[in-house]
Amino acid sequence: MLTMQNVRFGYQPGRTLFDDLDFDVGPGGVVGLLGKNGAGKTTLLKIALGLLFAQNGRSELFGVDAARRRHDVLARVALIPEQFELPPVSITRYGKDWGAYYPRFNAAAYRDYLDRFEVPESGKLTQLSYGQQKKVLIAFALASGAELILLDEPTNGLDIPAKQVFRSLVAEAAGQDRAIVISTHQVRDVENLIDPVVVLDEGRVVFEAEMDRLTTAVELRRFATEEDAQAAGAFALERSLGQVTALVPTRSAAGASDTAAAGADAAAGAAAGELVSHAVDLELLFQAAISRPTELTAACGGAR
Amino acid sequence: MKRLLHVFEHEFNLNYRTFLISAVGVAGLLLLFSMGRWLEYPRPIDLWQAFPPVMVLAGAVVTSGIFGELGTKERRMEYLLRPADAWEKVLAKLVLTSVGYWLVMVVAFVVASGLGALLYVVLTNGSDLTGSFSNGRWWVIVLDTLHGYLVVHAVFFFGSVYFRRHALGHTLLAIVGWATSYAIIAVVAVRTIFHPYFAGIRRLSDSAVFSFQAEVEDLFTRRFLDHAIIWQIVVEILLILFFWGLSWLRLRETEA
Repeated sequence: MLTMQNVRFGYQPGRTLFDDLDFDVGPGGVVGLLGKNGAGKTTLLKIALGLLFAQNGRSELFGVDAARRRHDVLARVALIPEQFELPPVSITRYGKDWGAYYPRFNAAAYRDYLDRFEVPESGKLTQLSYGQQKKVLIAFALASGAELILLDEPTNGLDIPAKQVFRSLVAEAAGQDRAIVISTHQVRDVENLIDPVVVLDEGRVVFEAEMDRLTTAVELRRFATEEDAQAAGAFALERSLGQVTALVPTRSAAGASDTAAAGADAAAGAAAGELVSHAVDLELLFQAAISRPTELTAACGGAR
Repeated sequence: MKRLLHVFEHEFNLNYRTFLISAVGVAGLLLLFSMGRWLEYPRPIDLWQAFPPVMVLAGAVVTSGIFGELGTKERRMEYLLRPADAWEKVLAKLVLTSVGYWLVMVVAFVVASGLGALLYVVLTNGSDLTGSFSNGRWWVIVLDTLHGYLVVHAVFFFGSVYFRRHALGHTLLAIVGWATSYAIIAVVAVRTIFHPYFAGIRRLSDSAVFSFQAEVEDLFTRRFLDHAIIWQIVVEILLILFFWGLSWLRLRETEA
């Protein structure tokens, strides 16, 4: 669906944001594109859609150069940008006029999604709050029938119930023939939703892995001290209420890499910590991917 | 074809309020102003004499705002990602602001003229409606206005693409700027370069040679004037195509 190879891009001459960036999205799955502020997540999405042009390398959508922005390709893609300005039309009119561009647009689903977000259909878009407008955009994107949906910070501006509705709608919409890319730095909002995880840092993809591989390779353990966590080979840790929670190699899989093995060996003589969860804490994973990408990748069996 | 029709429909849905409000507003104001004259002397209202300047002015305003979507990066992104070809989106805007708006204006004027005639009969007990529709030649005025308007439209269409904000003001300023620059250059050129030749021509003006030359020139001028309407049409078409073409090229550059 989306292929970016050896992409180089910078907003100013001599200052590259991406250098030799590779990023692929195939059908199926909800790709979590994580990165710090300014890591280039939004820029990556813009290049993917042909709104910005790579200075080197190639960026293709459905096998077509993204920069061409061909109508048949655009009809298979939907974007929810972080910042947007909606036209002064009614919500219903928006569905009719914009939906007609998408051959697989489902008007009934659009109404249903709006209903689940508790957005009245009768209103005018410009009279809605930012959060309400975003709900309309999400409802439209999911009902558009687009095979590739790109969401840039989709939970910004959503209240807590709306975030729950968002998660359930995305989970329902994700299918074999459709890919959803969620670019965000608010990882808690998309936890248990995204698979695979892609971490962007310093102009390149530093870590990429599927969830099942992650859950077998790393786990969340609680330690009494930071030293214990380090001894257990912690990739990343968090201190709270006198305890330390760390992302460590799974004890059964500790031999997956030399680094992890060394950690596990050391841990044998130290407190092994209490298992919190086999599920991955995305914040700690993100922290680990940024600070120790090589070790984390090795622990996950060389995913990237 | 289906998509192109939808692009037209979509563009119309986005702009019909502006079109209607401006056309009805202008025609209504003219009607009210004309009715005010009945206080002095009741006579049939002929709005069509005002049609050409009003059409050009209102058309320039409406056309200047047609690419308002490109004014902010958020709207521009939405415009660029709308699944239609660039030429389809531009063609829809071009047709709607040129012929489309002209048609809306004509309908508004026909309705206002009809209403004016009716009110003249009812309110002033007038019976002679001669002149209400420019003695039946309103359609000549309408058609004559179109080609003049298209030139203005082409210029302001380019302005709306070129200037992302306050396109109307910027385009007007640009027109005044260009016109002033050319006038100054022409005056300076005449004064500094061609002045000696004019002095020579004046000295030759009594000679037989000059008379012969003048006759030849006169013949040429007459021939030119005989075909003036054709020249006018050719120049107008070239101007229209030039500015529309320029708009397209500029838009493609902006999109890139």
